[in-house]
Amino acid sequence: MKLFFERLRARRRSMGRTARLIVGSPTAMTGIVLIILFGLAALAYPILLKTVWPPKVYDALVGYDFAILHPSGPSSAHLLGTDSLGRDVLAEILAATKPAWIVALVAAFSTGIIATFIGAVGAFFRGWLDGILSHVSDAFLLLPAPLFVLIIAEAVTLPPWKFGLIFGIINGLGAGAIVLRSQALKVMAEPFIEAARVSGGGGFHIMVRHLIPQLLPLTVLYMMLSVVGAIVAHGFAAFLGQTESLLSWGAIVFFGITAYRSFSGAVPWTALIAASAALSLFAGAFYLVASGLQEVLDPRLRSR
Amino acid sequence: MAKYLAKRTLSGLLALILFTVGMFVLIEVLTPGDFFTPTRMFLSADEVDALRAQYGLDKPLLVRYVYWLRTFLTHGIGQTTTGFNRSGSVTAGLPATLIVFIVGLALAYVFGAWLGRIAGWKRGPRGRSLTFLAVTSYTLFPPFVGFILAYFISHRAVELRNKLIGNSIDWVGVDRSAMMAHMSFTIIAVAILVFALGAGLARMFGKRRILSPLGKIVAITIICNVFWWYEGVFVYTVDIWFSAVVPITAFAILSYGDFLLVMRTSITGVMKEDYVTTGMAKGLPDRVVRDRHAGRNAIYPVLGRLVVSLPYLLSGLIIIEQSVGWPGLGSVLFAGVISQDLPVVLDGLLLIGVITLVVRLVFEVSQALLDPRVWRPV
Repeated sequence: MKLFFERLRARRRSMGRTARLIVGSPTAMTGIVLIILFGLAALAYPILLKTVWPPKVYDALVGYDFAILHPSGPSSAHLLGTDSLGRDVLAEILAATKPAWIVALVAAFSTGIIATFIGAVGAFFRGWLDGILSHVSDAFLLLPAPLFVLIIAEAVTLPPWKFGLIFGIINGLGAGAIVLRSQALKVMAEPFIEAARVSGGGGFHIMVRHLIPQLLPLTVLYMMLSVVGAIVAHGFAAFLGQTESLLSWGAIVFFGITAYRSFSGAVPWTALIAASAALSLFAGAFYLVASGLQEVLDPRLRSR
Repeated sequence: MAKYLAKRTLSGLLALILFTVGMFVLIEVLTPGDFFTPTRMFLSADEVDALRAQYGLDKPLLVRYVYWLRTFLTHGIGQTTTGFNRSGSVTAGLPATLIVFIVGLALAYVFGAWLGRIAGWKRGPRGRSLTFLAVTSYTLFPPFVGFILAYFISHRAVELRNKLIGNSIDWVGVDRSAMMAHMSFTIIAVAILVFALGAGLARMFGKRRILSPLGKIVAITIICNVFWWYEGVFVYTVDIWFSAVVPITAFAILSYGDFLLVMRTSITGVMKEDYVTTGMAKGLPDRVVRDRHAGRNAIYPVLGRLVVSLPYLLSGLIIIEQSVGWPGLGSVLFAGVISQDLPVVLDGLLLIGVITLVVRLVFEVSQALLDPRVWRPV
């Protein structure tokens, strides 16, 4: 029992150190703040619609403001202006945060789980199993996940969670598994694995209690990077009109460009810029956290 | 060496086979329906079944995979489900992709490596802002970039072209795609010539080099254009460049960030080496130490990155092509997906896989030649 508490304290100490390092790194902090803001944005839309915004004007899909001409620039009623169909851009941006979050979370976790599992199993068992797994990973490395998921989305309509899942599976099987396997091989050569073996730890125990916790930081890093790819790919799929949800940043950009080219002649700049910026910032936030994490994990870069 | 080479080739082939099997199964499982599903609108169920049976679509998955492999091995790329040869359309998309890829990648690489050197050498506000710029380019939304470029550049490019060569270029009897293939081939051949000749002449005259990298690029440009002029196709090449300016710029903007970030990390690693300190202590100018001493040794990770991320760059290019409406490999691939013509899609993907594997193999072999520790048994 005493040992358990001692262990807990040590873990808390080390986690506290990591947390302090992350908070101290401006890159990671910028990313975390942005991610929190996007989380709030996802919550804000339904609340605003219930309280301040009359749904007839501000509904992200069918709202219309009869008072002004569209598309319009920023005004006090519409902070980011309106698009070519007279919908409030800010409401659209906020409402489109939800599908983006779904894609991001599903892609991150599926990548993380698959990559860690394959990497850990391959490095732990070695031999023929590792040979097969690493060849499969090599094969999937030839096909970037964004392209594959776009191809699938071209043929069938994918809801956000499915989009994220397919992206995560391809990404995890390919690049993710390779990165995590090489890290797992490094960990397997450490003396504490041997110590665990000598003290009679079984294969499952070593993998779950010793190997995977050591891989966790890198897994998180890789999950973040997979979010970046998934978000941009999802935006592009929406741009091609391939996703189930009518509301997404990519769809807003697509609609803005189409409206300009086909019937209005006026470019809905606020809609285009705001949607692209939201997409880039959301993806960029995860990238910033990832690179901050990388600096924390890589002591060579830490002192700089 | 031969053994190492054979081993790498075999493992690459194995990966390629696994890749095609994986793609075949995944696409089949994830997209219901097949090539004849749309014909159900005007044919009865029996007739559709008969068509399926005729072209072997009613067979199990593995059998169909073997069919595809057999057709591929005997007839090459572009055989559709119905045996209609579309290799014309698959290979017609390739040159358009290739020319944007070559020029855009060269631009992205040169700019990325150059800015990365600056960002890594001088940390601080300037380096940090460069890094942030690279991260933005990494997450920019391709259709938006394409739209901005098309909005601000396209009509100016057309005006400039009309001023330069007139607005009526007679394309009758000239194959646009073949012209682009010819251009890509010329550029690659001349580039090899300039680099090889440069190295040979430098050795002959006992110099370190006879042309700076920038000089080499200028030389390649001049030689290519003179050659096209001599051939009488100069007008067509100018026309193609003006229409390709948007995809090339978009591709360069969207992919230089990666090189910048890798170069930056690599150069901070090199900066602690003794020879950099020595160079500084000798009183050499900062720029000389950065470009000649640190930059040269820091370039290897960037090259490695280039090879590893080749499929990502290609797929990024396909996405950019789709967002600016450039008729390249992407349009062939997506057309194949829409008509659910699995063989065509597989051929397109296989093309990407083969290009990646060959470049990777060449890189590994050149690395092994440079550093025998890679393959020599210890």
